[in-house]
Amino acid sequence: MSDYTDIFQSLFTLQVLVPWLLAMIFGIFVGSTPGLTATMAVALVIPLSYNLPKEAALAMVIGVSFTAIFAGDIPATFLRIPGTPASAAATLDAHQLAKKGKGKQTLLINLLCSALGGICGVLILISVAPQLAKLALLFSSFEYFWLCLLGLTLGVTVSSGDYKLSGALAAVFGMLLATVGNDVTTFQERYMFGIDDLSAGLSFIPAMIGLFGISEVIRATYRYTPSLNNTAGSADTSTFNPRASLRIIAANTPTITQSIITGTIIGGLPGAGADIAAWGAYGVAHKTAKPPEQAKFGSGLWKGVIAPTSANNAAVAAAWIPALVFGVPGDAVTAIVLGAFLTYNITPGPELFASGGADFIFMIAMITQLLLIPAGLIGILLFGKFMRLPRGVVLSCVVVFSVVGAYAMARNPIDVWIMFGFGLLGVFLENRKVPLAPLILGMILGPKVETYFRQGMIASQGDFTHAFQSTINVVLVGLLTLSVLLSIGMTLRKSLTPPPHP
Amino acid sequence: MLCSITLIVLGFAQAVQLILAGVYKRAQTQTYQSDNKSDFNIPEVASGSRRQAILAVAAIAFYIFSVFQIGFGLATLIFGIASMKSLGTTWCNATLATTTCVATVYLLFIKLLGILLPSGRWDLPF
Repeated sequence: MSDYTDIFQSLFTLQVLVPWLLAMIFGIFVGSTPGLTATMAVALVIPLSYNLPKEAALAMVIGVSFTAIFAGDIPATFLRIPGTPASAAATLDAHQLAKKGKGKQTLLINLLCSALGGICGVLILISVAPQLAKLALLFSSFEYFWLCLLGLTLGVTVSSGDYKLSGALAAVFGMLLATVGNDVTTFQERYMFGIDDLSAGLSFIPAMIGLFGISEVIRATYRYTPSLNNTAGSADTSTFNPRASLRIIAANTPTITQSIITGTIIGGLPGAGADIAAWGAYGVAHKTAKPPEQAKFGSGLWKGVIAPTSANNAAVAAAWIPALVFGVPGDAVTAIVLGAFLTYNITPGPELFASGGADFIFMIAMITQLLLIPAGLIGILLFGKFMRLPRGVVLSCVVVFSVVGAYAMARNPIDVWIMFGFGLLGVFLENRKVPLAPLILGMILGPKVETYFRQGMIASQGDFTHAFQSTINVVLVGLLTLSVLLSIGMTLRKSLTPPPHP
Repeated sequence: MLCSITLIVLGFAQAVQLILAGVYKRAQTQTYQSDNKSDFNIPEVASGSRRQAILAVAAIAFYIFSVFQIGFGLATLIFGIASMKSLGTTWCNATLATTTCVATVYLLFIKLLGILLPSGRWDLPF
């Protein structure tokens, strides 16, 4: 107990608190800026933390990693542009609620569920880290292959609504787009058409900015009437409405619980990450909802907001499980943080737990969840002011920030053109009612599916029967089959139901 | 190759689904055949707003092109003022908002994050 008191005292000094809070606000800014990811926020804050005391440096890095994930939900809610890939699920129900004038309330619920998910995630991290990490270590390439396919199928099922076949088409198209560039195993050029800048593939972030940002700007001009001088946030006249928000959270306790569990399990598996966790939790919430509620998913349902946001912060905490116990990063953010740990002379592994270093990290992670609430409120309020600007100003600024965001990642002009191309693609697809989220999922998970499949095939010397030999594989294949069959069944039932008479 | 084949198969399946659904719905509900709000209809876009959208696409393309030709700062000032004005903002507000936007990008990206933005052929400050 005295150890925790010492840690607490060492953290609550001005030398630590000031850079910690500044880093969290920085995380809010980066996370809420389309094109700048949580990974980038952590990477950018590490050089700033080098010259600070170890406590402050750790607090900055851990603080940024959690706040940037939440902050990604802010533009996803207001503008339908996910700030980070983990917030893509928030572009569905959260944005619909914002359009109904409940933007701030949605984000308050988002923030509280994020903090709650984070707190529970950290508690689970503290209590069951070694057990879950052992399970994660049992996963080989084929298990990851099936897991990624399951994530993709669930994503398609839940994000496509009534257009599941279009969703599947978009997902496969996304996977096809992800094959552009040099083959990772043979270095053979694929769909590059002689453009060397495409050797590393189509950059994901510029593509996402284009699909969700530029396409939204172009489509907004369809509906735009300059004489009305409407503002970007004209529909959002709501307040935070804390009492009603707390009631909504209390009423959705089972959804929060199951999402935290889903997020923790998925987040604890190396490579899965907060984005898959968010989609997975959204899928579970959809599947477990009653039929009348199921039909409302994607049209502004509180469960659709609560599930992904509770899961993604729980997943960030859970990603630390294999990272701290075995040094295996759970996602890209944790991989960068692990790199930073090494520069601070912190080596992950059992010794970290024995020396009490892990307790220090746990304490920082827990306090970060509590600080997330004031930092998040500042972020929402600042973004709310931005929304009151005339719509023409906001649309133009979105274009400018999208161009900067696309360019800032690699400082390569082709990324900006990729963003523009995907913007046009987004307009084309949405006009034909093809959902965009499965396309994004296909682009995220496509390379993982391919890599794990090929690794598995190399390890098994070309024998695909190995993909069905372990219990985990069988369970994952079973879940995958069930998910596909349910989707087909739902599509058929919907197609064969006669439309209601007027 | 696998993706291409799957894409063709799914595309074919979707075409079949659209045809079957169309036939089924026609048989079921002949009374409201002409309902324009069918799930499978492409949304109607007025010709005026379509022209506006095409202009927006052209403006964005020209802006991206000019960013790498005349530099981010100057290109953004021209694009920002022109696009805001065309979207109904007053000259004064458009100029003020664009200048604020450029200044914000300069301070946050160039000064704080150290990200260099395109300076163009004339090698302007940014």
